[in-house]
Amino acid sequence: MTLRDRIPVEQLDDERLTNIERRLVVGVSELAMKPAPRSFSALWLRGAGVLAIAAAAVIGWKLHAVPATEPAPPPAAQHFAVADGSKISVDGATLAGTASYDVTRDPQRVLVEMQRGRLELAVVHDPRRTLVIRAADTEIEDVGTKFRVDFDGANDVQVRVTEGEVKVTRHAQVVRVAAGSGWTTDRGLLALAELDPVVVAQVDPPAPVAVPATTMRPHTAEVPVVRAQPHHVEAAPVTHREIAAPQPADPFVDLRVAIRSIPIERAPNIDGHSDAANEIAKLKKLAYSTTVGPEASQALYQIAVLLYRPLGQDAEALRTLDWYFRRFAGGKEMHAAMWLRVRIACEHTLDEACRRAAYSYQHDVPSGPASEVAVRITNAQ
Amino acid sequence: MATAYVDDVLLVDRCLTGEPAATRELFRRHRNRVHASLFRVLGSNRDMDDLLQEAFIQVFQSLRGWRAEASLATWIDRVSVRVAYRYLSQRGRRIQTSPLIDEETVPGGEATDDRRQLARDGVRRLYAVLDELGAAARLAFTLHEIDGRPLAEVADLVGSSLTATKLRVWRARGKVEAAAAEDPVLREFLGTAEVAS
Repeated sequence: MTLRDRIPVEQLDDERLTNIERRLVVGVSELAMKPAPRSFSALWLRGAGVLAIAAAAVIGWKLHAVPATEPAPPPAAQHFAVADGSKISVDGATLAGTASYDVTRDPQRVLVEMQRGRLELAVVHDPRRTLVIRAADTEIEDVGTKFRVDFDGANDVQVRVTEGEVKVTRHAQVVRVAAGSGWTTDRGLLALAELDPVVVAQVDPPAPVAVPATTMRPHTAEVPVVRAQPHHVEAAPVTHREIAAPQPADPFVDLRVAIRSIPIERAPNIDGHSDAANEIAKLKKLAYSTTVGPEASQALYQIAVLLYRPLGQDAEALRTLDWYFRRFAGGKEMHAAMWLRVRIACEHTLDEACRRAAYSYQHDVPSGPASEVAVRITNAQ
Repeated sequence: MATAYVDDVLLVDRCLTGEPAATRELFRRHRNRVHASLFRVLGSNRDMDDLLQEAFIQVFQSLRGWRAEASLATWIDRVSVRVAYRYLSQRGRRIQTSPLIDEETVPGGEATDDRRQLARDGVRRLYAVLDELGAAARLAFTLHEIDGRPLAEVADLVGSSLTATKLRVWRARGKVEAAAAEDPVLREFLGTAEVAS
C-alpha cells in the first residue's frame, strides 16, 4: 500500500462546494464584464496617438490664441418663501409645507437652506446627486425617503421620517434616522411616538409674503437652474397647524429605535452608492486574494457593512456575513459582525431570524455594547 | 484525447464570455482533483475551502493566459500548486493541520480500532514533520510521494528542474525517515506504506 492510499482525502460536503461554485460564478461574471487587458504594442500605439493629438492641440493653440472661456459661475441660490403649502419640485424631490428657504443646485447636490418653518419632502433617491436640508448647524441628507423637517428659525430642529432613511449631521455627529423614527436637536434619535406634537414656528396669522413672481409656484413646478444672484426675501412668520403624523401600530417601536441607536462598529466612512461599489471592488481583492490574515477579515466585514448601508442589499450582506463567520471565527470584527447581523435581520421585522441573531449575540457577547438590547429582542413577544 | 482537448478549448471559450453554466462545468470537472492535491500537500486543514476557492479564482482570472499548450488539467494543477506554495510560504503561520480523518474514510472497513488509530496518529505525525519542511521541499515531496505524481511532472508543476526536484524529494524523505527513527508510531505508519522511489 502506498502513502497515497494510506492518506484518504476528506471530501468537502456538497453545501460547501455549492457555496464556492456560486461565488465563482458571480465573480467570473464580473470578470467577463471587464475589458481584456491590452497588449503592449496596442498600448504603445495608443500612447503615441495621444501624444500626437496633444502636440497638435498645443500647436493649434499657439497659432490661434483664443480667449479662454470664463469658468461657469458658481451656482446661485434661489429663494422661496411659501406660506400656502404649495409644492415645489427640485430634481426629483417634492418640497411642500410652509417655510422660508433657499435652494442651491449643482449637478451633484441640491442644498435647501431653511430659514424657518416646516418642509415635508418626498425624495426619489438619485445616487448621482445628494439632497441636503440645512437648518442652522444641522444637515439632513436624504437616502431615498419621505420625511419632514421643522425648524424654528433659531436652533430647534425636528426631523420625522415616514419612509426610507435620512442622515442627520450636527456638530460632526452623524445619526441615521430610519422610517418610524425621529430626531431633535435636544433629544437626538427617538421614536416618532416620542416626538412632541410641537409647533416649532411661531403661530401667527399668515401675513402677505413678498416673493418674486418667478419663485412662487402655486402648485407643482420645476425649479429652473439659475445663475443670477440670490434673491433675499424676508419670510413672513409661518402659520403651523399641527398635523399628527399617522403612527403605525408597532408595539416594538422603542426597541427598533434602540436597535438603530447602537452604531455599527468598524464601518468604513462611505455613503455614496458609487463610492461604496468602488470600495467593495477594492475590498474584494483583499478579501479574496489573501486567504487569511487581519486584512482579509476586515475587508470581508466591511464588504458586508457597505452592502447593508449604503447599498441596501440586505440579503447579500447577510450572505457575506455568513461567509465571514465561517472564515474568520476568531476575527477582530467578530462581535461587530454579530451585531451587524442583528441590525440587518431586525431591520424590517422582529421575526424569528431577528431573534435568533439577537440570541447569538447575547450568548456570545454577553457584555457587549448591545447585549442589553439583544436581550430585549430575544424576549420580545 | 483529442476530443477532450477540443472540449477544454470550447469550455474555456465559453468561460471567457462569463457564461455561468460553463463556469460551473469547469469547476465541477476539476474540483475533486484540485481538492485532493491540495489536501495531500497541506493535510487536513481548516482553510481548505478558502484554498480551493482561491485556486479557482486564480484559474478563472488567468484563464485568458491558457494557451492550450498543456492540457487544461495540467495548467489548472499548476495554478493550484502555486496557491499551495503561497500558502506554505506565508511566514509566521503554522499550518492548522487537524486530524479530522473520519473512520469511514480509513480504507479497509474491517480494520481494527487499533489500525484506525494508528492511521490517524500516523497521518498527524507525518504532517507535523512536513510542517517543518520548506515550502518547495514539502511541495515536491507530497506531490511525488503522497499525490503519486512522477518526478518529471512534479518538476513541471513546481517550475523547477528535474534534478532540483529529485534533490528536494530526497532531502525531505531523509527528514521524514529521521523523524520516523525516533517515533515508533510514525515508523509503523510508514512501515505499512511503500514509499515511492
